[in-house]
Amino acid sequence: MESSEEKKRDSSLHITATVVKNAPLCTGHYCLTLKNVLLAKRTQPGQFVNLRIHGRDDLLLRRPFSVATTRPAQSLFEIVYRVVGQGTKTMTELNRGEEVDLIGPLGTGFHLPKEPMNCLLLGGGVGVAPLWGLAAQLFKKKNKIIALLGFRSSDKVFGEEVFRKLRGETIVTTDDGSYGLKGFVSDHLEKVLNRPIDRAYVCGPMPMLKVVLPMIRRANVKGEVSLEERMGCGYGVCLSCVANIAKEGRIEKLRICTEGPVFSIEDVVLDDEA
Amino acid sequence: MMKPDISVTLCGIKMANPIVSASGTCGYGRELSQFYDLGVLGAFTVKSLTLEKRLGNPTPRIAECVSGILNSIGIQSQGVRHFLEHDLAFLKQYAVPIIVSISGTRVEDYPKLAGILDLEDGISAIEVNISCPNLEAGGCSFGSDPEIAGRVIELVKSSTKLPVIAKLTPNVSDITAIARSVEKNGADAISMINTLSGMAIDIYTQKPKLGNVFGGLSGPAIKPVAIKMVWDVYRAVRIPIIGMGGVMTWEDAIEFILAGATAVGVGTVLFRDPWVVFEIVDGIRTYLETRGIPGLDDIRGKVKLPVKRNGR
Repeated sequence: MESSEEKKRDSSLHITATVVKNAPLCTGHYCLTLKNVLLAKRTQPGQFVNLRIHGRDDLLLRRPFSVATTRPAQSLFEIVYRVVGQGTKTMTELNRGEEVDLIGPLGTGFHLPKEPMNCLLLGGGVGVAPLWGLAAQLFKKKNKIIALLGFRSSDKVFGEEVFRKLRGETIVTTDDGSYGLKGFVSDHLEKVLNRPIDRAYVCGPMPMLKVVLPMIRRANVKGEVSLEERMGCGYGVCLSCVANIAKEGRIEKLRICTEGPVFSIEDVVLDDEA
Repeated sequence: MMKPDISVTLCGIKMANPIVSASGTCGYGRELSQFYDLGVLGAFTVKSLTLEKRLGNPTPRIAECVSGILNSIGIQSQGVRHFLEHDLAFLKQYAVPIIVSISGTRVEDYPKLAGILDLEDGISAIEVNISCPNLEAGGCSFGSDPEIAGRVIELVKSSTKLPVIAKLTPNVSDITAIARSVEKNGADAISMINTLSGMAIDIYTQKPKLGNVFGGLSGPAIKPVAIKMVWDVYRAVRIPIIGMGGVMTWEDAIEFILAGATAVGVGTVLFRDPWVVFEIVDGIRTYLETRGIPGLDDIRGKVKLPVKRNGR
């Protein structure tokens, strides 16, 4: 029987999705394909879902993952995760047909240019994944894509074909030179920025952001960056995942889960710039 | 079968059920309101307000531990004026008693805040946070000394006609001494416990997992500590208790009531499952119903002890 309070409840962000595929992409990285009609339809590039680790009540917090791609026609969406702790390790055991409990879509995603332009997509490591869905949208709106993707080594490279399929010029770097160009993405960014770039979209680890964001600003290229931080709730109540964001001349601590994760590159103030 | 009455009255506040959102885990209501009508809660406690705007502590501000989380938010707040101008009217749309938590870095901040809130309509009670473990000055230190804790409550009481709830820290050697002192100085209720002081280290980077080095532990890991302290305080004072600390389920809520709590706070669990409030409220009702217990008064503090001990 439905209790009288049930009518006061809105569960539209509380999603049960079915696992369609859970397969390794490269060393330590998995792609999880999930099925849920609402989520596949509603999610914008750069938004995320907060996933409860099935069968692990001892892990109190959900784990946030950017949605990499959506295929609304098939009710499918994908997330890419790197196995780093107990939560993601448990996720590797998810089998086809199992259900996962998630909240989403959450957060503020990327904004597309109003008219077609030259877009640089700059990704590092697992941060390449959220750029997949963005690239698809940019391609659909006739933007030109240049992807600069950095990985640690050849065994960690994934997802470059996504950008190639969208006719994007795709440059891959590895720290040790075992695949593509040798060095960090920042070592090869200057050259790319000398070309006509109108907009930059960035997602990657903090050490990368600390180098590339100032370079992009110096080149007078506008753009957006997706930030990451330890999250508690994922929906804005706990104030754990804040970032320093310049707003009307002052620095505010804004929530990565709500006002972000995507922020304008010119507004983001990284720790050592504060 | 008769319908049990799960409503409670706590220092004059009539609550439809005993479940209260814990301060600092539900902001000022906007976020939770996208998931449900806040009237589903017995009462809503806002995140602690400070006199001035505070930016809070550096990140990372949260770290998961075994069956618990450590946090060090450091009371990021827009300040009391911002709350009154932007948030109070929003909260007042809901048929839910509003408890406003206040926090200070100096003793005199508390009566000032209480005085400002006293002028407002629609606030059911003031919760005095003398137990935040994450402030450099004030916070927890006020709540660790019976005399200072009592002094803060006395000053707040003289600045407002609203009921005053003292939020106590577990980071003391004898919490009943603090409880007695706040009761003596006019507190109308006690809410307990705030988080337990804790620290975690990442062995790979060899750095603390929190930006502010240490923080407050919450979640099921602390529930037995909270139950024991509620039970101790229940026998030491006559004012009602909002019991909290690691409540995840309706079973946990019943446990707190058996230990002596009048109302029960939920906090950390909302991070994982904001909708759990429905299950907790329904579970409490069903527990009473299936046992033929008319209301929560009939089980409050009624833990059955193995040997005869001094009652309240």
